[in-house]
Amino acid sequence: MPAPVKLSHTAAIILQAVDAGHIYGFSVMEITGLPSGTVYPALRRLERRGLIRSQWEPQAAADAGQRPPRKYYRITRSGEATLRASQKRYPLLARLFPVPAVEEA
Amino acid sequence: MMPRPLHIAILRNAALLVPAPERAEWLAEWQAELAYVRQDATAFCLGSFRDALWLRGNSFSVRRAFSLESPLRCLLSLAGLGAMILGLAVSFRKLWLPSWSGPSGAQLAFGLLWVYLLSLLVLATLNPLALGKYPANRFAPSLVIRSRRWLFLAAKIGLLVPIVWLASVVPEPVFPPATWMLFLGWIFGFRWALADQRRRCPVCLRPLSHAAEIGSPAHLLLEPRGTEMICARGHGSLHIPGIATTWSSTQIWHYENAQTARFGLETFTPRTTARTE
Repeated sequence: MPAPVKLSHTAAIILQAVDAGHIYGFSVMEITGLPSGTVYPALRRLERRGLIRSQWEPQAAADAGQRPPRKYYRITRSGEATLRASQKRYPLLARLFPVPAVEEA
Repeated sequence: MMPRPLHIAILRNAALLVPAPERAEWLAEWQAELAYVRQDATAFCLGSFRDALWLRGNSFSVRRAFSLESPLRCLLSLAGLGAMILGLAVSFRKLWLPSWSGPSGAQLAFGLLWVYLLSLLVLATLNPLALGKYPANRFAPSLVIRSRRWLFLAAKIGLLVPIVWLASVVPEPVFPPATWMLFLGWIFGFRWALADQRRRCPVCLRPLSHAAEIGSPAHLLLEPRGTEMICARGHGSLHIPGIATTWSSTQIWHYENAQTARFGLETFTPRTTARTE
């Protein structure tokens, strides 16, 4: 099995946020306090590395909410392994974000 | 607060930096996210420039455009460079220095031949000219395919010779030691052409990859140290000896069955030497 990718602190925080259920770019920004110019490129980097994957929500769901469809991110298995390795490296990481009860649709 | 159409305009401007194939999706994502931003939307939108620049810098199309991996792209890049330098040389001579007159045709040909031979001689003393051994085995392709690498090398050198010559011609009227530039340019150009050739697959002419260190410096006889590289398309592997010995003085290529190497249908590929090119 390949060794998990070593992440920077910022990338690890963003991966932790996605794992905690903050699956949209803006909700990651809100929970981490990081600016958009940091969060979105980091999400793309994580996706290129295969640690998260993105998907557009169905048009019907967006139409029901009378808003544009959003792109959401999910952590992959490889991402989970990397996150666990990062949590060992940054022990406070796991305590950062509580899992939200209901994700804003 | 800035009106929403201006935020959209910022995003659209940033989208111009995003590579065209990804632009529509990128803009849709940022516009969708903007719909949820309640405060400081301007700062949010300005962050899109950083994202767009990251995508531009890391887009696969940019990498492809500047990569010389494909043999055709390598030759086209050299031809493009040559055309650019030719245009520069012509305009320099015609527009800026119309009265300058160079040597006659015979003098020029003799001078070029002399510098060419001298640069080859110096290169041979500095760097081995041998490309390595490519012994044919039962997986070796036909002679026509194998000869393509020689054509590729000849084409590269054939393009480098005029490129370097033209590049030395441009500053010649104002910078007389242009002969030295030509001499050094050819040495470095030929050296690059040979080094590039050694690291390419002789079948598909693409660069070899996955370099792996093997062996140990302490076991010269049974486990000689070296580097192995493979063709990503499964055409074979290249062994580069770490220390030149009497039995392994230069790099050696092993042809392999591309199908079995790629799909793992056969684990053993004999490396018998039938004949040497």
